[in-house]
Amino acid sequence: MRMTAMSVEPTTPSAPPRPHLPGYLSAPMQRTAGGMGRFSYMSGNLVSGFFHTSAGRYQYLLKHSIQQIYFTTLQSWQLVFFIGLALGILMVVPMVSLGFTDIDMLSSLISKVLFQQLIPFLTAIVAIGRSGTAITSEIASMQSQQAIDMLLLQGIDPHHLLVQPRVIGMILSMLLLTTWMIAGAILGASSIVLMVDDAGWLQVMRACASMLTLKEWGLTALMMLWFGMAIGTIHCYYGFQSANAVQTAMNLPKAFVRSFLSCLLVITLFSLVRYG
Amino acid sequence: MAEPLLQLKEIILPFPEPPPAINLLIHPGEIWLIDGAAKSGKTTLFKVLSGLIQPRSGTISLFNTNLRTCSARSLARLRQRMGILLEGDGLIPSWSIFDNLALPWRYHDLLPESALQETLTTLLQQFGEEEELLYRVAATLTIEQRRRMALLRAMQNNPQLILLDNDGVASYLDRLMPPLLPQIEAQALALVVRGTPAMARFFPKELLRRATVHAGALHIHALPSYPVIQPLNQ
Repeated sequence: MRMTAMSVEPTTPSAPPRPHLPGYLSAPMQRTAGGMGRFSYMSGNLVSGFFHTSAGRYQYLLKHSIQQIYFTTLQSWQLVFFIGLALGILMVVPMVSLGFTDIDMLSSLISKVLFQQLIPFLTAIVAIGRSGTAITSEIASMQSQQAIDMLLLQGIDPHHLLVQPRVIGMILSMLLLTTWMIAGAILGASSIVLMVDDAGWLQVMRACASMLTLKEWGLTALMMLWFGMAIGTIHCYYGFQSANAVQTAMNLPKAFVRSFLSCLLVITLFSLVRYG
Repeated sequence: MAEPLLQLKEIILPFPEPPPAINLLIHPGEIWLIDGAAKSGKTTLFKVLSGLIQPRSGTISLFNTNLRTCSARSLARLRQRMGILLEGDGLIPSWSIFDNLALPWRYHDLLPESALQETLTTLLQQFGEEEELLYRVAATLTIEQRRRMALLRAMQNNPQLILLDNDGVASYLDRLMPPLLPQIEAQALALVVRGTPAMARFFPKELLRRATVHAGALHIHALPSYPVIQPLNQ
């Protein structure tokens, strides 16, 4: 009994090409160049994947993106909110104790330091530590079980099936988590302000919100988009580079450090654009 | 004789020291048992056969198509006529067996969702497996169960060529062969198995071909390759 009708042409890659590197490069340079080549191939392949249409493929993309958002956002909302709350309190307590109780000034400070700098960066660290490492370990375990080879043999591009939804999920999760941490920070800061000032909650929140212009939101959203892309892509890449438990143990901290540094670089560049 | 399903012409495996070239023809109705010591190149050979890695040189024809010149799409179509079991089970650990087995059908829109359940249940029954295994997450199964499920995946497209690059299949061959033998005898299927010479007892003598891999070279045994056992007291 033939069980399937093989009528649809699948969009299938063979294994990623190994770059041929010139012999005059030293071994570490060859490794770096090879790594950059593979990373660029994966990134390009991710983008090209959006143009391959198949209902089945998009179902997997949707399902796994939602799973990633659930894991990154919903399972860590308490932690993120608590961090935001604590940051808001920690930011305002020293100012209030020094006698700076003007709501507009405090709101401006909160907006500049917390919303535009610390909160996006701390959200990124939470996402790297929680979801990034999980992504690397999961893909590494698939690699060691030859599940990635099997996907290639079944005509399925592992970058499209495994990386795309994780990157999309990470981008959306970063946006949600940042907004959520900002809400926590506003609540924490407002609580302290209310103790020393008779201003209402609404007044404090309105003052904070007025500091967040559309441009500020746009820049923060753009930054989170970069964070999401960087964290998702870098952690997936190191997962693919881990063929066994030893390599996984070596690659997990590498992935952590690389995505941490890339987020630090992006936030520095954005700060220069904002205030430079 | 029927056209070969797989043809290796002057293939040199990607070893640091280039081994002698390999020539091999696999026809429908044949069972190839490939043995060899550890690190002799068996897995490399199977990876070359399945197109996962490229040989140093030579030509591979799969279903009369040159793998070096065919497009990725053509290669994907050709691979759908093959069933492959790798050294690892190749299952995605966090997915259920159902999701693992249904993946290629769902991803390429080959089978409607309503037909998946019945098709997979039939497949499991055909090889004497419990239906309950379908709904277990792969990571929660024993190694043996995972290997059996991976083996079923190799059978699920009703392939014309099956490559089994896994020593562990030996314990499963008594269950695997009865459903496959009629197809092999009807020259609708060829089977290439990695294993030990002792596994020859699972296969009919007239269909069996044997080869040994040694340092990347393939030595094909002359037929028949069985020792003649002399009765005692003669």
